[in-house]
Amino acid sequence: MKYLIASILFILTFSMASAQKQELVVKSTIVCQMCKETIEDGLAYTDGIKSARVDVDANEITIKYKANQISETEVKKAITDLGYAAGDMPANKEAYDKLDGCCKSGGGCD
Amino acid sequence: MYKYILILLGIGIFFPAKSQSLQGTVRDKQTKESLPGANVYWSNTTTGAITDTDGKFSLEAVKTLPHTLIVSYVGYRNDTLLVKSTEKPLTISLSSTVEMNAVEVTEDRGAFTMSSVDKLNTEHINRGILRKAACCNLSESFETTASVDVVLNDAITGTRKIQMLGLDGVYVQNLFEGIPFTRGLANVQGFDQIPGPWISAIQLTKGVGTVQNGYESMTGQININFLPSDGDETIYLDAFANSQNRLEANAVWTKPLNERWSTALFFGGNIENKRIDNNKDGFMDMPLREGIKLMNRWKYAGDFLRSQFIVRYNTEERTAGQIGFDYDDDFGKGSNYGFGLNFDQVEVMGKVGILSKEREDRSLGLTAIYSYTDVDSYFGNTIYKGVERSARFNSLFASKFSKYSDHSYTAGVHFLYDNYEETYADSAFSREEIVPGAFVEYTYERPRFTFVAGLRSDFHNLYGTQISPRMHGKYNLKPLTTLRATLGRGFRSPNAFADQLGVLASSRHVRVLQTPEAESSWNTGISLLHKFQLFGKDAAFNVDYYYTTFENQLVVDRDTDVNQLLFYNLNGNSDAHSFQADIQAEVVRGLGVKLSYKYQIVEVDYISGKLEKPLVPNNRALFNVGYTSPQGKWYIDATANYYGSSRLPDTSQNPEAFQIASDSEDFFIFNSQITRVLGKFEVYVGAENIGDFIQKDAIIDAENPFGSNFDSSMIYGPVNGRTFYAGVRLTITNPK
Repeated sequence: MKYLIASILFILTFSMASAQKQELVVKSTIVCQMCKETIEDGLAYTDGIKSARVDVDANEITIKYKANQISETEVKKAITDLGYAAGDMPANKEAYDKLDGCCKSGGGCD
Repeated sequence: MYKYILILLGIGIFFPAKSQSLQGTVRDKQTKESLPGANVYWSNTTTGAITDTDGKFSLEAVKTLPHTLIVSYVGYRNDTLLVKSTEKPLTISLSSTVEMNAVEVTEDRGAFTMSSVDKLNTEHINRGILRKAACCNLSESFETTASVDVVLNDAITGTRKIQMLGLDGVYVQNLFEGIPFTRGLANVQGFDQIPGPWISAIQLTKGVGTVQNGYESMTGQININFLPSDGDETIYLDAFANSQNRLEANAVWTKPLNERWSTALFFGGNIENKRIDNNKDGFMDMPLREGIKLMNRWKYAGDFLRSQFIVRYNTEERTAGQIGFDYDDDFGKGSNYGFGLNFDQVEVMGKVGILSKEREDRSLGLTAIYSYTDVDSYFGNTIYKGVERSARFNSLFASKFSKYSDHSYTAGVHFLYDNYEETYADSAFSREEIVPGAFVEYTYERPRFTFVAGLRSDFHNLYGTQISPRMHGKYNLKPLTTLRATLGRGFRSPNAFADQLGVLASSRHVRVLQTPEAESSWNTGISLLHKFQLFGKDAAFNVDYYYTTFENQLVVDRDTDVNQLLFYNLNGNSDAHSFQADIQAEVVRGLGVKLSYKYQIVEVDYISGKLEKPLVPNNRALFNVGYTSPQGKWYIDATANYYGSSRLPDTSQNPEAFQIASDSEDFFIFNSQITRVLGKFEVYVGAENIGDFIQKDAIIDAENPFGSNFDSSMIYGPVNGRTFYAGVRLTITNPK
């Protein structure tokens, strides 16, 4: 029994995380799993961004962020700095050039 | 195994068709630095190219596209790409194998052994670090880590056992690149039979392991990577000698046969033939030994099918006891006390990995191992013999929930057959274990957070259905600050004699009071790793705590009766607490420092009451300083090990002359080694136990080994003093 309680506590400890968040969904230029990792890893430690999820099939990035810490424009800039478009904001050219061949538009990972 | 498959999962690339040659760049995935000298070639052809100083290559196109392109570079995982067109230049990123240790990387002999990447709390011991220690076999390869203690079993047989989290090494699962091996009767002896120079890396994982490799990982896992057969053709030779006439030699030849097949041959031999009694107790300090070890591995690497096949054989003959002991003159006559051990082992392993063509996140792995272990020994006039025949099959299917999902699972079935036949003195024991089982493991992986939950169910013919849930969590507070937690259950089948072989070297009357049941335990732990910059150089701090509590244990009781060695099932509690803190830093360029401290408490309910487990020190510390000269020509290493006082088994029932203190003294052991690199050669000299600390009166009543007070198992420190050694290594590489 005590292990069951410990197990539940264990799960709870690792699934806690919620505060008031803003949500932003942007279209991007995502091609493959590597793009997903580049974007999600690249935003994981950005102050104010609570979570970034990439939907490869829908070519969308969903960002949850704290509006009092980071603005929508700053969120988009963080995405474009990784070499990807954020809605109407185009990708940073320098970052885009450094991407793997398969992550550039026209490439594909299959 | 699954790691292998994941490592080798290629990333396909597609471009619309046109031109006649393929251009591209190869670079490091993490640092984005270009990789000059990487091999790029079309699979099943002789058409290939090598990248220039900027990592760029130009390669003649094959006639029919799509065709598979293979990219390889020493120290990096091979990448396999399906090229559909040559129109656009490719950028190919290779991942370094530093974390996975599948291939030997440039030799980092620095102090950094902890990683922020692993899901579990894992310490990496690479080939560079292994070479810091003198020699020679796996049980001697943990001299620069405080996580594993290597202790003598007794003062006579020269066998060593490991301890992790305050508990015996039998609760740690040993893996040959993911396949459980050296288990059962070979669990303690087997470590002596694996030459250190064959090893490319060791991963030490603290706490209960994943469910994928079986149920036996109760307190940790030691995964051993041997030198791989693929890569460049390499010939490795070494020779070692020490001041006690111990001689060892090893040879390894790795040979890629073509783009798909490769093989490697391993040889090891050791001999120790001088009778030495420096502590003047009438017994040889170290046994006379003669052994041979052989291994052959084969690997096939196809586009979607990978396979390996391994055969391992070792044999060793060991004689120890009183300095004048001769088997023919003395055995069974009660004149001189002798110990003898013949240990033979054969292992045959195979593994196959099949990658999905449609889904790169999917793979199927199959592993099988057959092992035969033969132990033939005598302690004075008492004979112990054991034979184990064991076969194991495991399968693993891994997939994500959907192609780009953060959720993935691994599931499989497992089967173990184990047959034991043992005799001790006049008693015979035999046991047949048939254990079908199944497991499923779920993984949720996000950039900062990973959660793994596994469940396995094993249907043991002797011990009934055993359910083993296990959980692992990891959260990165900062990119290089990692919090990990683990909880899980494991069990194993105990082997009273083989697990405690050295304890038999006494006049104690051995009594197994009950039929041993399965040993099972819950283990939980938490760890924090913080990497930071100290004076502009890399540094790391680690702290962890683990708690193990047994549901059942085969208790080894040396306290209740000084003339008996009792084995019985646990009635009450058996708990182990282990706390460890490590700090590693590069103080100035080339000078690395590692300081570790461990505090452990292990308590068992014996028949006579709750006592601390004997011979487990509460306090343990390690200090290591390593210096590498700027051009990597010199390596200088010094280690100080501190072992605190531990409780000794109760001897108050003995006549006064044969009583020992209730606690051991604390002591330091100092080791040092200097290595000089001379082109393909490496020469090293060193000294062990520089302070010449020897445990006093390691054998109780050594004058009278056939009397009733004789006991050599009260051992906490070394029995041989300062030794000097020297060795030479030669590595010849023939690049493709």
